[in-house]
Amino acid sequence: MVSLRAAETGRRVTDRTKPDSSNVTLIRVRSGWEALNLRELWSRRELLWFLAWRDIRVRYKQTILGAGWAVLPPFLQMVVFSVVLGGFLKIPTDNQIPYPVFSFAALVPWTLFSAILSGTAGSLIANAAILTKVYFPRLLIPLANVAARLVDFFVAFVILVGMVLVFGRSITPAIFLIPIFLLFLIVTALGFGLWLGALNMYIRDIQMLVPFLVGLWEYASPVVYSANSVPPAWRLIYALNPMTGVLVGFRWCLLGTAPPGPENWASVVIALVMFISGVTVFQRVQRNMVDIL
Amino acid sequence: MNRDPVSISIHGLGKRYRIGSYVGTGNTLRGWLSELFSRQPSPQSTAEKEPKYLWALRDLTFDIPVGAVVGIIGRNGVGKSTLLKILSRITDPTEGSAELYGKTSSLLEVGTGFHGELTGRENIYLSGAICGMTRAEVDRHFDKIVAFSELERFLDTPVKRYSSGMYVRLGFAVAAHLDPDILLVDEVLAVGDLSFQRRCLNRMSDVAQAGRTVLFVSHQMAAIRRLCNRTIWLEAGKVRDFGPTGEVVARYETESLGAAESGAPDSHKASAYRARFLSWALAGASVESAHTISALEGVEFQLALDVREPIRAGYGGFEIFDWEGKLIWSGASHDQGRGDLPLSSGKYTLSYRLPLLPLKPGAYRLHASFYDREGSRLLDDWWAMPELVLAMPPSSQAQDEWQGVLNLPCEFSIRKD
Repeated sequence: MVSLRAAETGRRVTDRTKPDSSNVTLIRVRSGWEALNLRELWSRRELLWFLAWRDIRVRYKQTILGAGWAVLPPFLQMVVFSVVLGGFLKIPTDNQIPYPVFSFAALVPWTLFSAILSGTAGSLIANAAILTKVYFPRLLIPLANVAARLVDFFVAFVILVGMVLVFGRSITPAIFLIPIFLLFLIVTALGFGLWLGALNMYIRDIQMLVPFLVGLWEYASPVVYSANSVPPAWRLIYALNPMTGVLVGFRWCLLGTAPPGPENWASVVIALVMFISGVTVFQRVQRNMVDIL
Repeated sequence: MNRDPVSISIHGLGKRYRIGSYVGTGNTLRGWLSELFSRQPSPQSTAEKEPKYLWALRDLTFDIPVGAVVGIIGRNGVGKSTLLKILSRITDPTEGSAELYGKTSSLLEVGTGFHGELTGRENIYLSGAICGMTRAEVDRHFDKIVAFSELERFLDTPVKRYSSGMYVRLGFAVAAHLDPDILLVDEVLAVGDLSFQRRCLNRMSDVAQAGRTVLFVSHQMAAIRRLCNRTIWLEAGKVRDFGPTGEVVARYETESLGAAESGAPDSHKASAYRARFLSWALAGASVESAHTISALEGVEFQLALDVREPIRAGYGGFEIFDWEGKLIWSGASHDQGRGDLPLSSGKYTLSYRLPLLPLKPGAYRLHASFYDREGSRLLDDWWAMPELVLAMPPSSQAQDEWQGVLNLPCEFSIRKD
């Protein structure tokens, strides 16, 4: 056949007579649970940055304030909380720290937590158009969301450090412990977010639940009040919330309040269990999610 | 062809879909959890218990050699896109397996990953990365992509302000510069204007001729004929036919255009008749089956006629029509000075011999008629079934609107005078 001959000639010229045996893709029925393919994830890391970059570009396109929106919501919340809670209700802070900087030190990490949690829970559905047309490791989508939200966080964090200085507190070397609490925050948010995202594939009620859940969780965490306000009898249960440790830790590193107590270790275990199981469930669900989307 | 190294190897591949919603059919949180924790998908056992399943693909087994350009045809909903989705790893099979040797790119839509808010330039990078290119690769191909899209002036305009044609051009330009060993292409050429479609097809045949393996799903038989050397015909999730493109496409066209399978005339039910056609067949060196011609050679149409009552002045007519109903050729028993046919009762074979039938490949309809010139009576009028199938390779590679009626090998030469 004419066209066949053309194809054969072409092959001889480009010397592609042997398939590249190092690059075989096996497609098969997968049953049960499966380990995360970290090598594949690593090989597509460039895509992670592209997706994160897209999220950031798109979020601030055609806005006047642009990256100002990374700071404005927690900042306005801080202003309102300072007037109402700090001013009218006189909610006590630790070590007589002024209420604005006390609450802002928790609002900045909380904003990141809430953005990662709800972003992860909704990211698969938001990216359905791509997911049904091309393959790449699906975990890149929530990870890109984390990367994009971190950029917002860093902008807000600079303002936070500025506020700490404005309110006459000094920055101590403890600030270098922040990455530990930041990592703890991300692990927690991703763990819960991946679970919710996986469930959301099947039950879209989750989508409705998430904003509500984030709101409740905020009151269950020391955002607008001090963890010391919690009665001692409730402290142990309160410490099971991973965000308690994270927020107490942020205040400790920036404002020199008391460090998180040993009771918070239980929440580290909870966060890790949620994270590992969340990744696993996500891996399991993403396999056939295109059929459900 | 069989000794060529294999590029795609498929064993017993099948995909089952659940019909209906996951929510509201008793499949709530509990159902989801139990499905999640069941270790085996076990398609057979659950399929019997739950009738709400549909097999989009079943028992697919075939190998595709390196460098083959394989068309996949079939009606809507026979599993063509599902096959590409499984091979693209977008969705898992329910049973069976497949191996793909080499880097695989899929082109299931034009403009994969495009975001309307981003500019053309930004979308080239984004879509390239989503489709598997590294940043360095996009950098290297960037100028070629822009040139192919012809959108130099609009590179910094958000894609949401593009016309649909511009969007498609940019999307295909990115896809055309992926450099895979295996390319999976769904019906993407159905968009864009004719000249752009032609450039897409050209680009795809370049890819094909560079020795890449291409799987190409399309409803456009002209594109399949032009690009693919072999073709798979899928029907109800199974391989109905797999072979050289000309033959498979012709058989597909014959059937999908409404032809009946039987070789017997079906247009007249009356049991009382003076004469009627019984069947038709082909004779000739290149006759592939009773109704298929596979090379450009002499061919003879043989029509079986049953005569019950003697006819004094018989007259036979015979025509070839294309699928649009255009008359391609007509002949008669009278031609070239032959006179009326006096026939006694009995069975006859009327033969029309043509030295050549240089028509472009495809399915054709035959019409035969027989008259008694005494009293000008039409004795039988038959749209011959099944259709005539011409399965020779096209001798020219004309595109779309430049496809003519004839399929003639042309010797071209040029000299300076």
